Amino acid sequence: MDDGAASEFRGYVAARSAALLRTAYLLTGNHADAEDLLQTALAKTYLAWRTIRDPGAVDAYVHRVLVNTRTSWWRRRRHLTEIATDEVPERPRETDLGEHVAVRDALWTAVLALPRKQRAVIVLRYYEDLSEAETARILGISVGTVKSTTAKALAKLREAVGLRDDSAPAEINGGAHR
Amino acid sequence: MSGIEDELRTTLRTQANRAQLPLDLVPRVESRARSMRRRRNAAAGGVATLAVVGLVVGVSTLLGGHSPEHTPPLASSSAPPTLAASPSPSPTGTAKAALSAYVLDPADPWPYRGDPRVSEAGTLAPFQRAWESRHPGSKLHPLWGEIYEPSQLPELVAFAQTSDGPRWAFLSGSANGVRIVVDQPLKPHTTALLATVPGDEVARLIVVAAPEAKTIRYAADGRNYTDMYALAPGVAVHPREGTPGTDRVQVIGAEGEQIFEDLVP
Repeated sequence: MDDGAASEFRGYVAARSAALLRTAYLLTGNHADAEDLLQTALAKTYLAWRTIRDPGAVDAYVHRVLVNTRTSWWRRRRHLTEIATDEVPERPRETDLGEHVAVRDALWTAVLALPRKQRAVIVLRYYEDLSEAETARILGISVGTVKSTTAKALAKLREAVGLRDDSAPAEINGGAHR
Repeated sequence: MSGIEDELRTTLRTQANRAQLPLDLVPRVESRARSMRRRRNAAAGGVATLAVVGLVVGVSTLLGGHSPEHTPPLASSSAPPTLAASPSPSPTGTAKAALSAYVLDPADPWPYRGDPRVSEAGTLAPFQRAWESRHPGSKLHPLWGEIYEPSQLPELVAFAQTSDGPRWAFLSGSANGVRIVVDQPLKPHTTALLATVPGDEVARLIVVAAPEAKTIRYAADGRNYTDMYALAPGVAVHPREGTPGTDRVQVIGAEGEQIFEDLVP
């Protein structure tokens, strides 16, 4: 990489790394893995820097690398560090909508227990506020799959924290309409 | 907007804010990128950067195509000095004696090379237990090991005496504990162990020969050899880019003599 491109890359990292680390943390659920995931994703981006011609596409590229790398790790390590399951964690007792801290703790625990694809969709839709189409592009799946995956994940999260489904199906599927 | 969606957004933002950015991120990223580039260049045998970028693009496809269940067949290769496929002239008696120094002798196996952590008791123990579950009473003699960087899991090539005779093995850490990727009888006069194993981006051909071997070479087309990337003395790796049944490996000794030459199994 020449000096100009290296400088551009460093500028990008300086501007975006904090936000990307937060996404990595939500995808991995722990600090060490998040940092490792971000470093790997940025290193891959560094190597591909000259091929990313549209500066506006860098974020999408890095998100794709984050998710794909995370998926790759998950495949290798799932039985060692994480077991994705269709079963949600036990519902916390005496959960009250007014007890936000308890609900959010339970919700975070439930997010961590989601299968990797559902977790990635949830993070991109509800943390990154990406549209269904943008999420589909990054994950390499159809918009319909994004919708159905989101609905399944939300249903599990609702069950985990004891919230009833008070939204219409269209709203569930629409989520963060953009 | 439903209650769960609002709670979810708040929860994700709260949790995300716990992530602390390291101060020296850029140098670490650049260092890791250089390491990845070296590995890719080595794995690609020094092909152009453009081709390396192509490998990056193909990561997910290739990974999907090399699941452990679809690992290419592996085998040991025995290459006596008079191997018919070898283009080198048949060695004289003196040459034969010299070449025998490169043979994997069950009574005096090659020494261990590679990452010392893999041969330490803590890392070796799970490999040993997995091996003994298949070959009761048999002990592994480690020949080479590494912590494979992409997976951060150990890999080991080892020799062992078993009730069925001498064998060699390629074992790797896996999601389930230990995977015995190769478990083959050790043929007489073996001078090189060849294993094609899954890699981060492409399947890898790993060759383990005597530590005195000078060069290990690979010909994807069976004719034009290029040096493989040395992992340790007498150990080398190359992407398995040739066609099975066509690609070949050559091992050159310290004096420039050909130790081994054969098709990749």
